[in-house]
Amino acid sequence: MRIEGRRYRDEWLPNSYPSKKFSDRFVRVSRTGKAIFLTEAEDAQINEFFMDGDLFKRLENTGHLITRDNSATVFSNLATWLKGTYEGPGLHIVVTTRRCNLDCTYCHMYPQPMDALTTENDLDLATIPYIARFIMSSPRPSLTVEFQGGEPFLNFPAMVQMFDEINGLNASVGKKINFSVTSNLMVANDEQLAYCYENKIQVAYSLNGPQPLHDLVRITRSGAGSHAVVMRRVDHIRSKFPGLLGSYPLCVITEGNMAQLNQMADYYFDLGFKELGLIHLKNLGNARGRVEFDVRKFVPHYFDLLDHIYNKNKLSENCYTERIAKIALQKILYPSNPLFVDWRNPIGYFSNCVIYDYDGEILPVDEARSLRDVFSLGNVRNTTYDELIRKRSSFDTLNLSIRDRDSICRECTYNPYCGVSPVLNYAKTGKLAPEPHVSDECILVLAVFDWLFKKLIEEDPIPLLKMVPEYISAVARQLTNRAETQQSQKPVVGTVSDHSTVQTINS
Amino acid sequence: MAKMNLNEEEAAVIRKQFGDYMIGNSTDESMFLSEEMTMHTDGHTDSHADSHADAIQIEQAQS
Repeated sequence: MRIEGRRYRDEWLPNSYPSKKFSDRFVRVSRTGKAIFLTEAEDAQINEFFMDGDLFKRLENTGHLITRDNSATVFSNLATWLKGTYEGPGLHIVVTTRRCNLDCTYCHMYPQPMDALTTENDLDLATIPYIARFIMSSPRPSLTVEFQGGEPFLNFPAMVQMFDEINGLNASVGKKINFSVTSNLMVANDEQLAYCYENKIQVAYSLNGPQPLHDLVRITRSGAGSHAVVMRRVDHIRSKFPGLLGSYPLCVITEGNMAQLNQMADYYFDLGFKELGLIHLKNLGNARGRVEFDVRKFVPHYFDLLDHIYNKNKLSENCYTERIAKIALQKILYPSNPLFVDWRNPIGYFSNCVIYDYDGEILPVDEARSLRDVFSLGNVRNTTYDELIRKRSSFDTLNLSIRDRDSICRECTYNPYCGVSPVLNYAKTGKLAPEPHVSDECILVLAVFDWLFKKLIEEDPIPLLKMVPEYISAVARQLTNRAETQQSQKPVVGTVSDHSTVQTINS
Repeated sequence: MAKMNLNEEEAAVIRKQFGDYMIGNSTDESMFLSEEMTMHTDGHTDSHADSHADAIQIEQAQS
């Protein structure tokens, strides 16, 4: 009964999540993260008795079907999509002190006053060799060591010793190790900054919008704002130590500033930044009971912001982007799930990221620092990397983030693109297992991908693709190179609109 | 700030390529970035150094 040109259900296994309709198109995402647009008739055939041969070929090529011929490729694509999950932790966050000169209302820790006892709040130098050995036990060839506080520069000797210990251990190993420090920039002196500059220790910082918005949340214990000092420090550090500061500041969204996102985007744009580093408020530490954030209220404001940035990119040669949307687009465009530890399925807790608190306590993510009684994995003084990596329980929190555990998530179009946090869910609801449509991350993921796919299908994709500048600049550069090559080879100028003129970035 | 300098013809090529890719007709999937370029976005401190690494990886991928 088989008809030539048709393919039948004994020739494939489905390998995608349920589709979602946008205008006349259906989006389907494969288990290896590939998105494809189908017509209604095409999408229906996935759940019919047979399929047209042409559609079968397309879905076989993209891995939305597993067939006899593509199974090896699909598994290779799966390994690529999950790359970074099983190579060992890459991001190691070392807390040098709990003390801080600020008392930000939204802080996800419990910062201690500047004059609090160092013996109770600072990383003891004797603990540092234990942490260094733990870090260097990760088999990953490229590591990032990030110093956090409090204000980490308040225990600068610990930063220096950690840097020396790591480099000492690495001398015979040869890993690529990046160092960074997250600071409010207010207490680091030029001698300390020069040390960072000379040793390529990148400095990340926060600037929470223009002065009235920044000073609502980033305050001293007496309630004074910090915007003016931070801006002076940014100017000073940029001029004296060019390239030392991160390429854009981080900015926390609360209910107090979510209605001003467009103005904030313009503020950063006018200051010369090319990316907006938004982070939504987490219900942790200082923030609990002091500052509010409701993701459902945030989403409409966020859509306005994305439209605002889209229009900026439409009208300008330049690229401007926002971090959440950029990572989401990378998930759609890239063969590997971006290694953003907080936004993966499974999440990167302990598999990608380890925290060493001020007393050597090991945690799976920095958000767990105010919830140590629930999430502690042990202490560097009495356990080792090898012991922890072998323990099934080390991955308990990560396991709860795996979205195929939940029947609703198994039916979600965006399952591979998701990233829910058991730590944040626990902080919000008291339950460890993230719940679909309750978890802030779930609500945001659904909203962001709905917005992106609608835009990609219904409008010009170029302004949106410019939100991944690395992608579009590489393609643009290649097109220019090829046009120039053609021009030099031919007496008559050819056209770049010929599809064949664009080969591969890798070629 | 990086300029894109996309002219209309170049933008049209990208639109066509992107359209082909999204309906599964692309014969040129590596247009959508090499695997190496995906490894930079790591956690909490997206940095200038990371942006620099991107640029190097793009150059390497193109060479």
